[in-house]
Amino acid sequence: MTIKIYGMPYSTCTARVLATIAEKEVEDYELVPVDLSVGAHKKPEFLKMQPFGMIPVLQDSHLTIYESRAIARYISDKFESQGTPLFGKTVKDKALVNQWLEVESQNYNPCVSSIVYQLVFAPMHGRQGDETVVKQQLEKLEKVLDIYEAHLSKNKYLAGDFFSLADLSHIPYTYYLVNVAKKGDGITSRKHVSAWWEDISSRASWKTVTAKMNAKV
Amino acid sequence: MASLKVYGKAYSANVTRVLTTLAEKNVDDYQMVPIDLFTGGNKTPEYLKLQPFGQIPAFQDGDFTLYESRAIARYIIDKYEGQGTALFGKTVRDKALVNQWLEVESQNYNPCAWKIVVLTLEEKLQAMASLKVYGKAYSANVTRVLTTLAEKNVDDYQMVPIDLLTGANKTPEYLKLQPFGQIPAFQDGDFTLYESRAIARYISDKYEGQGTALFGKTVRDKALVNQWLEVESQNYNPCVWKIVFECVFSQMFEGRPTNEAVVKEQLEKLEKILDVYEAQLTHHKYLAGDLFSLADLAHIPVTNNLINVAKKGELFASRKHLNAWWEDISSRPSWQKVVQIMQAEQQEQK
Repeated sequence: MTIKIYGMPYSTCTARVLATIAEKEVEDYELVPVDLSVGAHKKPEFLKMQPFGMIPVLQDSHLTIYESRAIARYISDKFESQGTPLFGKTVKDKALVNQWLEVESQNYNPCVSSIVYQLVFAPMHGRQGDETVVKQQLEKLEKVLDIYEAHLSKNKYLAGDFFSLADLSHIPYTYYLVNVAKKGDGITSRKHVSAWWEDISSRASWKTVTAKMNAKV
Repeated sequence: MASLKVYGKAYSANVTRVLTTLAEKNVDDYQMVPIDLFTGGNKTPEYLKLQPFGQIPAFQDGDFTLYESRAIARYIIDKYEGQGTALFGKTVRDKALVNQWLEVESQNYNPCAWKIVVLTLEEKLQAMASLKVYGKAYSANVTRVLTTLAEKNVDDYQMVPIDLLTGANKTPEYLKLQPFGQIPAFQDGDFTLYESRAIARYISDKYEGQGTALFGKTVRDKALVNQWLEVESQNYNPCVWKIVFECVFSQMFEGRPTNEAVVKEQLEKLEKILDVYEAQLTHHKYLAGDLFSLADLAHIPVTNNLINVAKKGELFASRKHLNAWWEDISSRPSWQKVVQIMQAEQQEQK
């Protein structure tokens, strides 16, 4: 078992990696829990692997990689010949996947992760969520989702007619937005965004991740 | 079988002049030998033996070679006089008038029509073949793309100005290209792409065989480049951007002075991040290892803003290896070239 993933299934970023692993039909790996509640991610041994003190981290023999989107890319490359082709088929397909990965990273995620942090993770750490921030970010998100709605009314998936890493990358935080923070109206009220969300969140890969999340509870 | 050969391509009007003549004379039994101007097939020594002007068509009947489409047409008409359409009429007088109008076509009509066609085609080819970067060089996201083009030795692109200060990024035409109303947007022919890091990746893929190798050599190299690209994207840039925006752009874009509390908070965050970079660069010349990569490049434009525009250079000067890395990557010819583009743009505005 050369692949080790350090993280927790309930962590959105770890979930991004686990979903990628499932889509690429990789079975030979070990999930090594990192107990955030005791600050295991801030201890020297962990910081040697991930100097920013965050999960997940991947180890594959002598290679250590962190940042969930980079790990997902590495898994897609290493297991290119099996499972779902997560970057399409052509150079142009790949460029569009990369474009929507950046949209997720630069436009979508900052909004959604902020809302999820204020409503879900801050209270978990005994902090009061900031309602003003939530309101501001929800307004921003509405404008972003209008663009997604227009795009998805012409394309089944973000990069075209094929499921890709760009769609997958949205799943974990959107799952938390809709099912845990209960702020999914923006998603469910838009016909095509809603259909896209139903489609990608019912994939077998995501079901294996939520099973792991729920097993921990 | 086919002793008749027509050398050329059917996209050429001169070639189809010959093919149409063959068809009028009911001559099917010939072979087309492709000579493509776009691949320089007309400039090979073998072809120049047939047609020393390097033009298409050329024509062969057995070992008899002929060129100039109107001359070829006349030959076909003579050779196949007994079949198909009579292309010179019946009488001496008919023939004289045919020759007259052949000359009118040759001397008056064609030169005119051809110029119009060429100019229109050139415009279309310019528009199709060229790369376009939409935006302005004052934008770090735009210069991230320009620097990547320079590293890959790609000069043949056009900058289409889209100025945020005039709202050019909010016009319906621009929003068709980039629905988020941000710069840059990018086109390769009719293929449109946005998000500077995605554009940089596309350029690295498309021009893989030239310029600097921006993703290292192995799958492992690439993974480390991707890791530090994410560090830039998720950790470094959000922090640095907030500081630069507050210190430099808050008045211009939001009509308010710098929020010093935000700057202080972000500087504290950045100090911790830069400590990690200093540790990494103590053991590695560049972020992903021994070689310069897209990960280092991605940092250049925002770091330039941080140090030279927001005047926070002390953060770098106080960290030995981080500073050496910055000196190194910012002296690369690619960035120097982009600095010149930025300066030229500023001059134009004056």
